[in-house]
Amino acid sequence: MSAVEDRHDDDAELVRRTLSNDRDAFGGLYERYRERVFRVAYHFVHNKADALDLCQEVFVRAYESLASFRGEARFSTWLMRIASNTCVDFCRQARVRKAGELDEGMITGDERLPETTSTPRPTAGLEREEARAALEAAIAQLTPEHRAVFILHAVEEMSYEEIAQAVGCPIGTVMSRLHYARKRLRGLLAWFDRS
Amino acid sequence: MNECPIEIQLTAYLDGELPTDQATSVEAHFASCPACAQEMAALRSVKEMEGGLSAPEVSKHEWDRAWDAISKRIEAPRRRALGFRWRWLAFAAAAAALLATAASIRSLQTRPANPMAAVPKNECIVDYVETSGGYSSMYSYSPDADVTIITLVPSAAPEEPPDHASGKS
Repeated sequence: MSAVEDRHDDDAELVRRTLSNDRDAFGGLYERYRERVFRVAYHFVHNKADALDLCQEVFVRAYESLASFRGEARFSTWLMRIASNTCVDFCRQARVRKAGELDEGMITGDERLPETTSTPRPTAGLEREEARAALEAAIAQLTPEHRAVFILHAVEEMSYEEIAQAVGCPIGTVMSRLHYARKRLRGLLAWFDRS
Repeated sequence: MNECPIEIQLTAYLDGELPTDQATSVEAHFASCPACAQEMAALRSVKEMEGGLSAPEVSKHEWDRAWDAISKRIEAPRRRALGFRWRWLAFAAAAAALLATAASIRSLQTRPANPMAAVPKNECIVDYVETSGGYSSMYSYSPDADVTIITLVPSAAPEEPPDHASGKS
């Protein structure tokens, strides 16, 4: 039996024990998946405190709906669905802004980073950290639905099929959203192409 | 592939999600289409940046604090449910007692306290009570029909005293 199948069986056992009121079993699921959930949440909101709050919300929702987990998909995929929905809901309810960086109203039609950002215009030798920060800021400009697909693929390296199960849409939609997300990011980061 | 592939195929090719035959066709197309080759290069530059995405470290203390918060939220509904169950039981017991009391009172009010309650069904008890004003009342009570009938009848007229003055007897 492969390592993936072993883990799947372990998750199923922890779920079964949790449903039998074994609180430690749910703690085991928390320890196993907390970092993945946190990473997804962080790249949605780009704020550590908010990401930890979202992480809590995800696990509470998972516990409350654990009886509905039938084991047809992997537990990790099922949990990522809850994480994605929770983060999308959060983003829809609150406007996510990065203080001192991109402002939605400042993105012009040519979709370039505005001159007025605090980040200086990069030269050919752009620092990796500046590039990462610029990408994070650009991700924040995606719609929640496009952001979910992009993060699950880019950060969690999930396949198109896994992402389709996690967000609850056809694979074609995943492909389309990911393509659009990359094109939009490319437009926002156009000056990187020139360098 | 003579025509340019649809754009989303470029992304799927980049991510290794295209079936082998389609991937081979797309690769062959790049060799002869500068526009698609340039588009693919742009998409690849974004994909290469994805590897630089990272999240901040979370300390053990922060993880433990998050778990404490989760545990409290999970436990709260169970405590509320237990409390609600006891309150519901107390309410149900009080409601049952109230209904029993009401039923007893209703039972007492249904039949007046009278000795005729033990009368078998289909029998009528007639009582004769003389009242004043030249009338007598008579009431009959049927336990079966739970009906009381009160009848007033004139009392019998007293006999006229003999008229000795007229000589009539």
